[in-house]
Amino acid sequence: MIKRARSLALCGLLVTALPAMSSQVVIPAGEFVSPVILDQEISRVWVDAFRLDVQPVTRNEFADFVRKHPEWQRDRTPRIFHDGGYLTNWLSAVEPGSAETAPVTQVSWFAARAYCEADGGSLPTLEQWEYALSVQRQQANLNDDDYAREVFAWYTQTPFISRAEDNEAMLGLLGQVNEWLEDYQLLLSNGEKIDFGGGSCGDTARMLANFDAAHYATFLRYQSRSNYTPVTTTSTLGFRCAYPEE
Amino acid sequence: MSKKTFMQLSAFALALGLTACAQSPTLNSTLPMKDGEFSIDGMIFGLAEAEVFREQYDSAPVIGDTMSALPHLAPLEYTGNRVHEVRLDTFAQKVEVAPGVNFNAWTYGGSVPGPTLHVREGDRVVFTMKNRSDEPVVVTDPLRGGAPYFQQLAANPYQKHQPAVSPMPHSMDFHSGTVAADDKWRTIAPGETIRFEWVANYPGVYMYHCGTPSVLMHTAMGQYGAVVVSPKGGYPTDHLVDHEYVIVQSEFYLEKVGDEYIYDHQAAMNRNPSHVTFNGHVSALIDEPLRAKAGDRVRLYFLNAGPSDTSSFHVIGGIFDRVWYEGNVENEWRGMQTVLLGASNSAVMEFIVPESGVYKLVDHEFADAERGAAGALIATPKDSN
Repeated sequence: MIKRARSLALCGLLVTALPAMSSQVVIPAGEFVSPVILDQEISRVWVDAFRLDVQPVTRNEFADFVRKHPEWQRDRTPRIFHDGGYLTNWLSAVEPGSAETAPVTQVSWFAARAYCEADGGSLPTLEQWEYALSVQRQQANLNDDDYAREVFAWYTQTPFISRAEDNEAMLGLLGQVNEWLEDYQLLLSNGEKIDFGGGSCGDTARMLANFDAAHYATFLRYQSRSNYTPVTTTSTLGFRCAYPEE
Repeated sequence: MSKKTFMQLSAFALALGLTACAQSPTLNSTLPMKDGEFSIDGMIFGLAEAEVFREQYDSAPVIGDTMSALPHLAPLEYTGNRVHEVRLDTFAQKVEVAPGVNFNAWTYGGSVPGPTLHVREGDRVVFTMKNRSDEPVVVTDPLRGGAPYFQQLAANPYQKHQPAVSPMPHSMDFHSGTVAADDKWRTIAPGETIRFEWVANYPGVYMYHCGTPSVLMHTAMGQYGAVVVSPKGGYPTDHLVDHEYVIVQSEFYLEKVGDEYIYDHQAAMNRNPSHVTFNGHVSALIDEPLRAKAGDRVRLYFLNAGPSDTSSFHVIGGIFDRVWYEGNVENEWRGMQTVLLGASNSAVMEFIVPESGVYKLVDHEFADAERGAAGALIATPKDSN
């Protein structure tokens, strides 16, 4: 599965030196069964093989990007592309100043997209990202209850708690940062189709393919993602890129 | 008077009457309606759309002179109606709910339950909330301009509050407001602020909570509190009441993972709480019991916030002399031993303290009492100071 991945200690993300360039894994083609019910039926879609960064983009990598693309430096990027918090946790417009190998956060969807585009890729689609997670869950033998616990723990504890044993096989898809997706607002709000039931109180049941904790945890991720706006920058929202597999 | 004059006078009087009706319908409120609003049965509807915006704000996360920490209720020191400028920011906070059991809660104002807002029927609330879930917010140092809530919290910090960070989209749903939920109760992302108004059309004790899906998790994580809307004519016993307290019952669903407690979704779905509390801690009303004297009339404003269970509230050794279901004076019961409340139901209950002693407050569903839904009122002798 891991084609070009180097041996990375993804867990010690605040201290471990990582290579400057992200390496990628190939996510093989396969069927993705959506854990969330859209349009009143469980959707099964074929996902073509693609390459995915093995880790979220780091602060260092993003610093290289803004040096090459000054228009994305925090003091030059127009406010229509961010909410005012864009890279405000950096030392300067081009230097993170600390934690260089940690995932970059406080980047808007616009900035994340621009990075991936400049890198010859794109933000993963929701289907690609969730499919990759399901593939890696199988690889890591992460059972449903442990998976649910990890998701809930991430949402309910102070971020960046390391879960060393899972992170490498899981590509850090859980437990590091929430990640921007190309079509992250597909569900529940602001999309072309507004779901009148799902935008507020309760009413999640008809969207869950199964009523166990794992599906509920997954739904929580879908839902929280869909409530961000493209200009949102938070301390736990980062991204990685996907690329076509030639 | 000629017929013609009579007709003219009548038309004039009719016109006057119509004009008066159009300009000032009889409102429950002494405040005027705003442009675009309308009135039915004296109540005000059709409020302006909510605004969502971004602001640099790092000052007091709770503002409003009638915003109190439990079990306090701020007095309403005005007659008629007024406008309340209220801020209640939402952010994460590590709080203790039982000795040694703390978790990173999602809160309004830093405590679970959040502060209690007190208004009068007919009052208007101009509400502001910033989603500050991506920044650590300190609530133990009272901030300039903050609500009395902070002094009360500092005087009795039984939840041992510590700042935490847990970025999440959140929203605010006031049961005391009559509005379109998809507008006023809409979800905002971390860093965003929402502002909207509501008018207290109906008296009662109401829940407020986060309505963002998954609503079970958001409420189980701590996002709820109480609004007391006092009836415009008061309760019939107002002149007899010696003490007023607010109690909010709620469940927690926690499991220990490593050294930390986190939300246990399966337990929440199974309605199997790890803790059931009054005012957010199993010892809240035992370490700091309510106080009164023999012969006093004690009024409790009680809300069962759930999120999923009922409460059968009972005072051991007392009988509720008057109960107003949901806090509305029209819904009066007498001589009740236990008051059954579903999730987000409330009541105003009064009892007369019969003699000095200790009166335990319990959820008479004993499985809940054993999980922490217990407190106490200590009564001193009738003539004591």
